[in-house]
Amino acid sequence: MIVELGHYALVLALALALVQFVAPIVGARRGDEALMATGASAALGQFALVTFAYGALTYAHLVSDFSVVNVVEHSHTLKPLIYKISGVWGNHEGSMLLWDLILALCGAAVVAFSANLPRDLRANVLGVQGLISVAFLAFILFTSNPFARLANPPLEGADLNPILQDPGLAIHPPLLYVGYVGYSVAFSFAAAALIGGRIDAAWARFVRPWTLIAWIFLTLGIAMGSYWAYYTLGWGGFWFWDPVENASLMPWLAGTALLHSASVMEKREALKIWTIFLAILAFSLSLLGTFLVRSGVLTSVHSFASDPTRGVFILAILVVFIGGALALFASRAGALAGGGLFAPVSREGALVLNNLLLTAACATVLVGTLYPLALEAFTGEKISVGAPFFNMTILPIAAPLFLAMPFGQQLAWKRGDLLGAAQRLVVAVGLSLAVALAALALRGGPALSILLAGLAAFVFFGGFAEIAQRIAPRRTQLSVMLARARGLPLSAWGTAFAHAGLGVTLIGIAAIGWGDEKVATLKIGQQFDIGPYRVVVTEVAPRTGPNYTETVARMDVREDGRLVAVIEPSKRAFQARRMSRTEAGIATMGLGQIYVALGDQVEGGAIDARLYWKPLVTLIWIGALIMSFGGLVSLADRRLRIGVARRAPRRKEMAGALPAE
Amino acid sequence: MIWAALAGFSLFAILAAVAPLFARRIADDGAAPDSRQAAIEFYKSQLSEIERDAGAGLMGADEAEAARAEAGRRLLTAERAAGATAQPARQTPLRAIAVVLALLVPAFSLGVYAVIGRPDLPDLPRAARVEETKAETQVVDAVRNIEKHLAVNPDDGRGWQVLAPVYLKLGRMPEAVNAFRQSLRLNGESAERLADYAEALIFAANGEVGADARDALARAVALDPKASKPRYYLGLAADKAGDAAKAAEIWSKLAADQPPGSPLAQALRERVARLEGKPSAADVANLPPEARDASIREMVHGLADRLGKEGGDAESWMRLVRAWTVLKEQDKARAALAEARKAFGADARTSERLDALARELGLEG
Repeated sequence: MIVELGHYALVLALALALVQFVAPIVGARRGDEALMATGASAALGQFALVTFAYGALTYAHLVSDFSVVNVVEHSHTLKPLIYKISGVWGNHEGSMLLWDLILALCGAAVVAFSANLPRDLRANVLGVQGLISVAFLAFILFTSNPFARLANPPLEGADLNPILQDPGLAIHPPLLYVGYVGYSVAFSFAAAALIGGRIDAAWARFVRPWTLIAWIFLTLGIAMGSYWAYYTLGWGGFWFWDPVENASLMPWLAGTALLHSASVMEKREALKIWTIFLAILAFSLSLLGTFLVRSGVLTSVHSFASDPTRGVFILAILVVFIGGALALFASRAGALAGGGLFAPVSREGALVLNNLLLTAACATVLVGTLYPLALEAFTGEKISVGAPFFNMTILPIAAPLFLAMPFGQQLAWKRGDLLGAAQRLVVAVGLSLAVALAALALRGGPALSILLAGLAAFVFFGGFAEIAQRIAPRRTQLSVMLARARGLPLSAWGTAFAHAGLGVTLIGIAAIGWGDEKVATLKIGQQFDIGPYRVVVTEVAPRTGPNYTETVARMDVREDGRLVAVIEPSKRAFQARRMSRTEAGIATMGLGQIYVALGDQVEGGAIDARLYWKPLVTLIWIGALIMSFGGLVSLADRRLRIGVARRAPRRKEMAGALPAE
Repeated sequence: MIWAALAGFSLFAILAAVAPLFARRIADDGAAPDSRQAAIEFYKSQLSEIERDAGAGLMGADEAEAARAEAGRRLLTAERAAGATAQPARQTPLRAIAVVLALLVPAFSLGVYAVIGRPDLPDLPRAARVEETKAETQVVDAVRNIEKHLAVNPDDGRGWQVLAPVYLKLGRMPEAVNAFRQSLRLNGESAERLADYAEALIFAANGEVGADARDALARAVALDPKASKPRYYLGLAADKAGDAAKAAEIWSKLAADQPPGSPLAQALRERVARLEGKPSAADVANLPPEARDASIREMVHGLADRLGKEGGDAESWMRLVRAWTVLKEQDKARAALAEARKAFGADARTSERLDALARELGLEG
């Protein structure tokens, strides 16, 4: 009964989503409080119902209820508990249900955390969220129903793809989804502003926390996915320009641009049209990512859906939302009053440059991802647009962006002083030159790594240069500096950390050039000198796991004759599905890693292996963590929760008493 | 029980949809601000931030002055806009809307659920299926034991040979294909093993006959030209490849080799009859309407001639009766029915089926 109730709850959620779509928007037009409030209660009710439905599906997976098709196709009685739970979203239907659960959560969060939001804006936001829910719930119920039942259930299920049976899978999709779906709130705010016809600086402040949350999770999700690919796919790379990865990178680039342009709009009421457009774009790219991954256009481990009717449905969703939003945008954009003016050299100007470069990068990725698909669809010709294309096109766009980041932070609003900014950056430039020279002295090359290391250091130190300038413009007492540091808005600290985090990631990338790589056929007792370490093969043996057999190579990692780590890379063969998977052996030494991946067995039982020393490689992901931390700090800024609340109409003299730190 | 629960859930959804409509009107001054008031508050807070930053020395005096002037100007504009356009809310028939929603929400949901839901199916956790699982468990346990054994001794040909057909029966096609392949590798090729392997390949490919399967079948026939299974599947391969003549030839010969009256021979002759000299269904569908009619008529005549001359099984006769009826040739249908009754009069079950067919098609009386 639980399963069927879950199914029914999902249908009821669709009904409530329809109510949530219509009632508050009508209410906002008529100025009717009660109708607007209906949007809030429908959103909460919908969240409760979708949560129940998700719980019911999880229950079916946990107890192995094989009368549910979804459980038959993706579970197995012997699967470990954690994969029974993560298996719920490890397949198409379940992952769409998770998507919808997060969407409902976003709607409920808007209700819960927006008591201060203007009631008409809030009503319209909830209405648009309701429409998105309608589309996705209908998609789930009518094309990808996870509650489809079997009258004659089998006694055993088909198991989950072994590549997906990994702790990385348990965390990666939910993070990514919170990011993707989080942009729906920014989208709803944009559509709501267009419907209500009021687009001002206050709007930019209201939408900011939502964009930030989505951005934080998307950053974490991408980093997690990248690390997962790094250690499971066994190629030792961290980014493959795989279309599925690109699908998550595009909304990230658009969302990053949105964060920056919204700050201009909040401060100066400029770039209004552009900001609204970016909010629409970020969510559209999230939807496009869904379309690319879910419709089976792409062949990749991620594409667990391969049914064209679903693709057509998603395409329809895409057309309705992107097309609808852009039509609304076109009808309103002309009526928007222009905002504050600014000189080309100013904080605003720098952020416009940032936006241009980010959207150019985003467009490049889009073209590189879609062009091969379009070409194949129209001419049948298959081409592969891979890393060389992206490296060659993204680098010329990214390099000026990185170079401009510290300058932008130094420029004043409205009219800036480039020379002054350059002077204030002397220390950062000096430090980064020192880093580049140190790299040159210690490593001697390659040129690209040296340059990138210098650039990375510039981004890193430049990130904090603004803070330094603001707390100590000239020689200042320490106590004053500390007081000022405390007085700085948290969003300034957030910016510094996010920029510095990017610098850290770039150092990790620059260090690729200093790594060491060897390809060898392993024999017991053999020794390899990899970077500063010596790897000794001590054992090569077969081993049997619960549902696979593997060949394991045991290796000692020694430094100056001292044993510092033991790694066990293996090659697993899953007999049942006749698939094999490489388990890389990884030992983390400081910030670098020894990475060994086994290849194919050669004649006579010997096995090939690739051995890498990757100095500073963990910085790539640590940098992403720092960036997310910066987002979190910015989110904690009290100004984002300004008290425009209920007291407002009565006590206008309140103005002076707003939050002081 | 389930209906009570569905009703409870519906009630919850109705409440979520209509509760605010019955709530006491929120007093105006207690309400959240609208966006005009919010804009005013926003610019005020912006002004106070500027004061704070300037006071703490985080902002230059000129910069602060410019920012202050701008925020002040926006504040004035916002206040003017708020004063000018405070419009009273219009009356909305809330009670009526509440009643409509209270009816629509459950009506819509139950309607959709009636189409896609299965309220008749209870939960079926694996743990509750002990009786049912006993026999199956034994098989699965046995399979698992053999799998374990094979994981250690992957070169035990007998193990693979035992395991392979069990996989096939359990519907684990890819595993079955692999097991048959291992068995072939270790036990050597025989017509039977090759045919089994090909069969598993065909099942795994949902009935399509791929190159691997064709190759294995050809080798099986080369080893034993009389073996039935590989010849049957070779016929299927030819049929799938669109070579009806070759398929018919292979199956006819195979049927001739069977002992008389064997069910396999019957089934094969059926298939041959369907293939012989007739355009495929797809070809017929593509013809213009008149030509299509003519073509179908020709096929039915062909069937009638063949049955008249050579006789045939009950199924073929019944098909002929049906075909004549569809073509609105009631007399010919009755004649065919009479022929069939003559041929199968002794067989009580077939007579019964013929009677039922006659009633269904309205040919009696």
